[in-house]
Amino acid sequence: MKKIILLMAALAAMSFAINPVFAASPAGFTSAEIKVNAQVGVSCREIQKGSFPSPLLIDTQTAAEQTFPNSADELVRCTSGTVFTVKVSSTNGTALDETCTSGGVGDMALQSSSWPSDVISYTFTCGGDTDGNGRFTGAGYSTNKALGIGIKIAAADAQAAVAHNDYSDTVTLTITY
Amino acid sequence: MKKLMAVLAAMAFVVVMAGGAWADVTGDVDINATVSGKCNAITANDLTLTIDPATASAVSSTGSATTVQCSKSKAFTVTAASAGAGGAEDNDGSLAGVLTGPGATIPYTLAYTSSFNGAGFGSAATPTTLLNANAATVAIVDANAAEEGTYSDTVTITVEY
Repeated sequence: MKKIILLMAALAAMSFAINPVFAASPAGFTSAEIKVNAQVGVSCREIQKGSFPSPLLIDTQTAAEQTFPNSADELVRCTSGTVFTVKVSSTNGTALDETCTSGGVGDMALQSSSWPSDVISYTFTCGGDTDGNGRFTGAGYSTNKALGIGIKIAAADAQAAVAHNDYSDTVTLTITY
Repeated sequence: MKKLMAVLAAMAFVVVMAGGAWADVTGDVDINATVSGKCNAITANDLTLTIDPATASAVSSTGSATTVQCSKSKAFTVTAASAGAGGAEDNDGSLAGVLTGPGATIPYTLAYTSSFNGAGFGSAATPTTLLNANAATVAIVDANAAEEGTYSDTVTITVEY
Protein backbone atom coordinates (compact mmCIF):
# COMPACT_ATOMS: atom_id res chain seq x y z
CA MET A 1 0.00 0.00 0.00
CA LYS A 2 2.83 2.32 0.92
CA LYS A 3 4.52 1.52 -2.39
CA ILE A 4 1.39 2.41 -4.35
CA ILE A 5 1.05 5.77 -2.61
CA LEU A 6 4.67 6.62 -3.32
CA LEU A 7 4.22 5.71 -6.99
CA MET A 8 1.11 7.89 -7.27
CA ALA A 9 2.92 10.78 -5.63
CA ALA A 10 5.77 10.41 -8.08
CA LEU A 11 3.39 10.38 -11.05
CA ALA A 12 1.61 13.45 -9.75
CA ALA A 13 4.90 15.27 -9.35
CA MET A 14 5.89 14.36 -12.92
CA SER A 15 2.64 15.63 -14.32
CA PHE A 16 3.15 18.99 -12.60
CA ALA A 17 6.62 19.18 -14.04
CA ILE A 18 5.65 18.22 -17.57
CA ASN A 19 2.39 20.17 -17.99
CA PRO A 20 3.85 23.69 -18.19
CA VAL A 21 6.16 22.65 -21.00
CA PHE A 22 3.38 21.46 -23.24
CA ALA A 23 0.85 24.09 -22.23
CA ALA A 24 2.91 26.84 -23.88
CA SER A 25 2.90 25.17 -27.27
CA PRO A 26 -0.08 25.85 -29.54
CA ALA A 27 -2.10 22.87 -30.64
CA GLY A 28 -1.82 23.95 -34.24
CA PHE A 29 -1.39 26.84 -36.58
CA THR A 30 -2.08 28.09 -40.06
CA SER A 31 0.33 30.37 -41.79
CA ALA A 32 0.65 32.34 -45.02
CA GLU A 33 3.13 34.63 -46.72
CA ILE A 34 2.10 38.04 -47.98
CA LYS A 35 4.16 40.19 -50.30
CA VAL A 36 4.24 43.90 -49.64
CA ASN A 37 5.41 45.61 -52.81
CA ALA A 38 6.33 49.26 -53.20
CA GLN A 39 7.16 51.48 -56.11
CA VAL A 40 8.85 54.81 -55.60
CA GLY A 41 8.53 57.23 -58.50
CA VAL A 42 10.83 60.04 -59.59
CA SER A 43 9.75 63.63 -59.36
CA CYS A 44 11.07 67.11 -58.71
CA ARG A 45 9.40 70.23 -57.41
CA GLU A 46 10.45 73.86 -57.33
CA ILE A 47 10.64 75.11 -53.77
CA GLN A 48 11.97 78.61 -54.32
CA LYS A 49 12.31 80.71 -57.46
CA GLY A 50 15.77 82.12 -58.00
CA SER A 51 16.37 85.84 -58.38
CA PHE A 52 19.15 88.43 -58.70
CA PRO A 53 19.59 91.92 -57.33
CA SER A 54 17.71 94.40 -59.44
CA PRO A 55 19.36 96.12 -61.04
CA LEU A 56 22.77 94.49 -61.38
CA LEU A 57 25.36 97.21 -61.04
CA ILE A 58 27.83 96.63 -63.86
CA ASP A 59 31.16 98.41 -63.61
CA THR A 60 32.25 99.28 -67.13
CA GLN A 61 35.72 100.32 -66.07
CA THR A 62 36.94 97.23 -64.28
CA ALA A 63 39.46 95.01 -66.02
CA ALA A 64 38.33 91.86 -64.25
CA GLU A 65 35.44 89.51 -64.78
CA GLN A 66 32.47 90.52 -62.68
CA THR A 67 30.41 87.97 -60.79
CA PHE A 68 26.94 88.49 -59.41
CA PRO A 69 25.65 86.10 -56.81
CA ASN A 70 21.94 85.45 -56.56
CA SER A 71 19.73 87.22 -54.07
CA ALA A 72 17.67 84.06 -53.77
CA ASP A 73 18.92 80.74 -54.99
CA GLU A 74 16.80 78.40 -57.07
CA LEU A 75 15.78 75.58 -54.72
CA VAL A 76 14.31 72.27 -55.81
CA ARG A 77 13.46 68.98 -54.18
CA CYS A 78 13.81 65.73 -56.07
CA THR A 79 13.50 62.06 -55.25
CA SER A 80 16.45 60.98 -53.19
CA GLY A 81 19.30 59.72 -55.32
CA THR A 82 17.78 60.86 -58.59
CA VAL A 83 20.29 62.41 -60.97
CA PHE A 84 18.93 65.40 -62.84
CA THR A 85 20.22 68.17 -65.04
CA VAL A 86 19.18 71.78 -65.40
CA LYS A 87 18.59 73.18 -68.87
CA VAL A 88 18.89 76.92 -69.37
CA SER A 89 17.28 79.14 -71.98
CA SER A 90 17.69 82.89 -72.42
CA THR A 91 14.91 85.10 -73.77
CA ASN A 92 17.32 87.70 -75.13
CA GLY A 93 20.27 85.44 -75.87
CA THR A 94 20.58 82.41 -78.10
CA ALA A 95 20.94 79.81 -75.34
CA LEU A 96 18.24 77.21 -75.68
CA ASP A 97 18.03 74.28 -73.25
CA GLU A 98 21.74 74.27 -72.62
CA THR A 99 22.98 72.21 -69.68
CA CYS A 100 23.81 74.45 -66.76
CA THR A 101 27.14 73.71 -65.09
CA SER A 102 29.38 75.35 -62.55
CA GLY A 103 31.40 76.53 -65.55
CA GLY A 104 28.31 78.24 -66.87
CA VAL A 105 26.25 78.62 -70.01
CA GLY A 106 27.22 81.27 -72.54
CA ASP A 107 24.97 82.68 -75.23
CA MET A 108 23.05 84.62 -72.61
CA ALA A 109 22.28 88.28 -73.17
CA LEU A 110 20.95 91.28 -71.27
CA GLN A 111 19.05 93.55 -73.62
CA SER A 112 18.10 97.18 -73.25
CA SER A 113 14.37 97.64 -73.58
CA SER A 114 14.78 101.20 -74.85
CA TRP A 115 17.65 100.32 -77.19
CA PRO A 116 17.08 96.68 -78.18
CA SER A 117 20.19 96.62 -80.26
CA ASP A 118 22.27 97.20 -77.14
CA VAL A 119 23.02 93.93 -75.42
CA ILE A 120 25.51 92.68 -72.86
CA SER A 121 26.61 89.06 -73.10
CA TYR A 122 26.88 87.14 -69.86
CA THR A 123 27.32 83.63 -68.51
CA PHE A 124 24.78 81.90 -66.33
CA THR A 125 26.26 79.43 -63.82
CA CYS A 126 24.91 76.60 -61.70
CA GLY A 127 27.53 76.13 -59.01
CA GLY A 128 25.54 73.47 -57.17
CA ASP A 129 26.11 70.74 -59.72
CA THR A 130 27.52 67.60 -58.20
CA ASP A 131 30.32 66.83 -60.60
CA GLY A 132 30.95 69.99 -62.59
CA ASN A 133 29.18 68.51 -65.59
CA GLY A 134 25.72 69.78 -64.81
CA ARG A 135 24.56 66.68 -62.95
CA PHE A 136 22.67 67.18 -59.72
CA THR A 137 21.59 64.51 -57.25
CA GLY A 138 18.24 64.72 -55.50
CA ALA A 139 18.36 64.75 -51.72
CA GLY A 140 14.77 63.64 -51.14
CA TYR A 141 11.68 65.69 -50.44
CA SER A 142 12.79 66.62 -46.98
CA THR A 143 15.87 68.46 -48.18
CA ASN A 144 16.23 71.42 -50.54
CA LYS A 145 18.76 71.18 -53.33
CA ALA A 146 20.25 74.56 -54.22
CA LEU A 147 21.27 75.01 -57.84
CA GLY A 148 23.77 77.72 -56.90
CA ILE A 149 22.80 80.07 -59.70
CA GLY A 150 25.05 83.01 -60.55
CA ILE A 151 25.97 85.44 -63.33
CA LYS A 152 29.37 86.30 -64.74
CA ILE A 153 30.15 89.14 -67.12
CA ALA A 154 33.46 89.15 -68.88
CA ALA A 155 35.55 92.28 -68.49
CA ALA A 156 35.49 92.94 -72.25
CA ASP A 157 31.68 92.73 -72.38
CA ALA A 158 31.30 95.05 -69.39
CA GLN A 159 33.75 97.56 -70.82
CA ALA A 160 31.92 97.56 -74.15
CA ALA A 161 28.49 97.99 -72.61
CA VAL A 162 26.47 101.07 -73.55
CA ALA A 163 25.09 102.89 -70.53
CA HIS A 164 21.39 102.18 -70.00
CA ASN A 165 19.38 101.41 -66.90
CA ASP A 166 16.94 99.03 -68.51
CA TYR A 167 18.89 95.90 -69.37
CA SER A 168 17.12 92.66 -68.59
CA ASP A 169 16.80 89.02 -69.50
CA THR A 170 14.47 86.22 -68.52
CA VAL A 171 16.07 82.86 -67.84
CA THR A 172 14.07 79.66 -68.04
CA LEU A 173 15.34 76.72 -66.02
CA THR A 174 14.10 73.25 -66.87
CA ILE A 175 14.79 70.31 -64.59
CA THR A 176 15.33 67.13 -66.62
CA TYR A 177 15.38 63.67 -65.03
CA MET B 1 -24.04 -16.94 5.93
CA LYS B 2 -26.62 -19.27 4.44
CA LYS B 3 -29.32 -17.24 6.18
CA LEU B 4 -27.96 -13.98 4.76
CA MET B 5 -27.98 -15.37 1.20
CA ALA B 6 -31.59 -16.43 1.65
CA VAL B 7 -32.59 -12.93 2.77
CA LEU B 8 -30.80 -11.29 -0.20
CA ALA B 9 -32.48 -13.66 -2.66
CA ALA B 10 -35.83 -12.79 -1.21
CA MET B 11 -35.13 -9.05 -1.46
CA ALA B 12 -34.09 -9.39 -5.08
CA PHE B 13 -37.26 -11.15 -5.92
CA VAL B 14 -39.34 -8.46 -4.32
CA VAL B 15 -37.49 -5.70 -6.17
CA VAL B 16 -37.97 -7.33 -9.55
CA MET B 17 -41.58 -7.91 -8.92
CA ALA B 18 -42.16 -4.37 -7.74
CA GLY B 19 -40.39 -2.86 -10.78
CA GLY B 20 -42.53 -4.74 -13.22
CA ALA B 21 -45.66 -3.69 -11.49
CA TRP B 22 -45.11 0.10 -10.90
CA ALA B 23 -42.87 1.96 -13.43
CA ASP B 24 -40.99 2.01 -16.78
CA VAL B 25 -37.29 1.50 -16.67
CA THR B 26 -35.38 4.73 -17.62
CA GLY B 27 -31.74 5.46 -18.06
CA ASP B 28 -29.44 8.31 -19.11
CA VAL B 29 -26.94 7.95 -21.91
CA ASP B 30 -24.09 10.44 -21.84
CA ILE B 31 -22.93 11.69 -25.23
CA ASN B 32 -19.73 13.63 -25.16
CA ALA B 33 -18.42 15.65 -28.11
CA THR B 34 -15.28 17.65 -28.71
CA VAL B 35 -15.11 20.39 -31.33
CA SER B 36 -11.50 20.97 -32.12
CA GLY B 37 -10.19 24.46 -32.56
CA LYS B 38 -8.82 24.85 -36.04
CA CYS B 39 -8.57 27.20 -38.97
CA ASN B 40 -8.75 26.88 -42.71
CA ALA B 41 -5.87 28.04 -44.84
CA ILE B 42 -5.42 31.79 -44.77
CA THR B 43 -6.69 33.61 -47.83
CA ALA B 44 -3.64 35.79 -48.41
CA ASN B 45 -3.48 38.79 -50.72
CA ASP B 46 -0.45 40.88 -51.56
CA LEU B 47 -0.36 44.59 -50.82
CA THR B 48 0.99 47.41 -52.99
CA LEU B 49 2.41 50.76 -51.95
CA THR B 50 2.72 53.42 -54.64
CA ILE B 51 4.98 56.06 -53.19
CA ASP B 52 5.20 59.59 -54.52
CA PRO B 53 8.23 61.07 -52.77
CA ALA B 54 6.60 64.50 -52.95
CA THR B 55 3.66 63.36 -50.86
CA ALA B 56 2.48 65.47 -47.96
CA SER B 57 0.68 62.61 -46.28
CA ALA B 58 1.41 59.05 -45.23
CA VAL B 59 1.14 56.44 -47.97
CA SER B 60 -1.22 53.51 -47.45
CA SER B 61 -1.29 50.25 -49.33
CA THR B 62 -3.89 49.03 -51.74
CA GLY B 63 -4.97 45.51 -52.61
CA SER B 64 -7.34 43.07 -50.97
CA ALA B 65 -7.84 42.00 -47.39
CA THR B 66 -6.28 38.84 -46.00
CA THR B 67 -8.81 36.65 -44.17
CA VAL B 68 -9.20 33.34 -42.39
CA GLN B 69 -12.01 31.14 -41.12
CA CYS B 70 -11.62 29.50 -37.72
CA SER B 71 -13.71 27.54 -35.19
CA LYS B 72 -16.59 29.58 -33.81
CA SER B 73 -16.04 31.48 -30.56
CA LYS B 74 -12.62 30.00 -29.94
CA ALA B 75 -9.91 32.51 -29.15
CA PHE B 76 -6.99 32.67 -31.59
CA THR B 77 -3.77 34.64 -31.56
CA VAL B 78 -1.91 35.99 -34.56
CA THR B 79 1.74 36.73 -35.12
CA ALA B 80 3.43 38.53 -37.99
CA ALA B 81 7.04 38.63 -39.10
CA SER B 82 8.78 40.78 -41.71
CA ALA B 83 11.62 39.15 -43.58
CA GLY B 84 13.08 42.55 -44.38
CA ALA B 85 13.16 43.45 -40.70
CA GLY B 86 14.93 40.25 -39.73
CA GLY B 87 12.00 37.87 -39.35
CA ALA B 88 11.30 38.36 -35.65
CA GLU B 89 7.72 37.53 -34.69
CA ASP B 90 5.48 40.37 -33.56
CA ASN B 91 2.21 39.85 -31.71
CA ASP B 92 0.97 43.30 -30.76
CA GLY B 93 -0.92 44.10 -33.96
CA SER B 94 1.57 46.59 -35.38
CA LEU B 95 4.51 45.13 -37.23
CA ALA B 96 7.54 47.30 -38.01
CA GLY B 97 8.46 46.03 -41.46
CA VAL B 98 11.21 46.96 -43.88
CA LEU B 99 10.87 47.16 -47.65
CA THR B 100 14.07 46.29 -49.46
CA GLY B 101 15.01 47.75 -52.82
CA PRO B 102 18.10 48.15 -54.94
CA GLY B 103 20.59 49.50 -52.44
CA ALA B 104 18.04 51.11 -50.16
CA THR B 105 15.31 50.28 -47.68
CA ILE B 106 12.06 51.90 -46.60
CA PRO B 107 10.54 51.31 -43.17
CA TYR B 108 6.81 50.77 -42.95
CA THR B 109 4.14 49.70 -40.48
CA LEU B 110 1.76 46.80 -40.96
CA ALA B 111 -1.43 46.79 -38.88
CA TYR B 112 -2.93 43.37 -38.31
CA THR B 113 -5.47 41.62 -36.10
CA SER B 114 -3.48 40.22 -33.20
CA SER B 115 -6.28 38.18 -31.60
CA PHE B 116 -9.84 37.23 -32.41
CA ASN B 117 -12.62 34.78 -31.71
CA GLY B 118 -13.41 32.50 -34.61
CA ALA B 119 -16.64 33.01 -36.53
CA GLY B 120 -17.02 29.42 -37.67
CA PHE B 121 -16.84 27.84 -41.06
CA GLY B 122 -19.05 27.72 -44.10
CA SER B 123 -20.53 30.34 -46.35
CA ALA B 124 -22.73 31.72 -43.58
CA ALA B 125 -19.75 32.61 -41.42
CA THR B 126 -17.99 35.88 -42.14
CA PRO B 127 -14.25 35.29 -42.49
CA THR B 128 -12.11 37.13 -40.00
CA THR B 129 -9.95 39.89 -41.48
CA LEU B 130 -6.33 39.58 -40.51
CA LEU B 131 -5.08 42.43 -42.72
CA ASN B 132 -7.03 45.18 -44.39
CA ALA B 133 -6.12 46.32 -47.89
CA ASN B 134 -4.66 49.53 -46.44
CA ALA B 135 -2.78 47.74 -43.66
CA ALA B 136 0.69 48.80 -44.76
CA THR B 137 1.68 52.42 -44.20
CA VAL B 138 4.80 54.42 -45.02
CA ALA B 139 5.26 57.57 -42.93
CA ILE B 140 5.60 60.94 -44.67
CA VAL B 141 9.21 61.42 -43.68
CA ASP B 142 10.14 57.99 -45.01
CA ALA B 143 8.22 58.51 -48.26
CA ASN B 144 9.90 61.90 -48.75
CA ALA B 145 13.32 60.36 -48.29
CA ALA B 146 12.68 57.29 -50.44
CA GLU B 147 14.89 56.62 -53.41
CA GLU B 148 13.47 55.69 -56.77
CA GLY B 149 12.99 52.00 -57.35
CA THR B 150 11.01 48.86 -56.70
CA TYR B 151 10.88 47.50 -53.18
CA SER B 152 9.34 44.45 -51.53
CA ASP B 153 9.00 42.59 -48.27
CA THR B 154 7.62 39.17 -47.34
CA VAL B 155 5.42 39.04 -44.27
CA THR B 156 4.55 35.74 -42.63
CA ILE B 157 1.17 35.77 -40.88
CA THR B 158 0.50 32.91 -38.48
CA VAL B 159 -2.71 32.07 -36.63
CA GLU B 160 -2.07 29.89 -33.60
CA TYR B 161 -4.54 27.71 -31.74
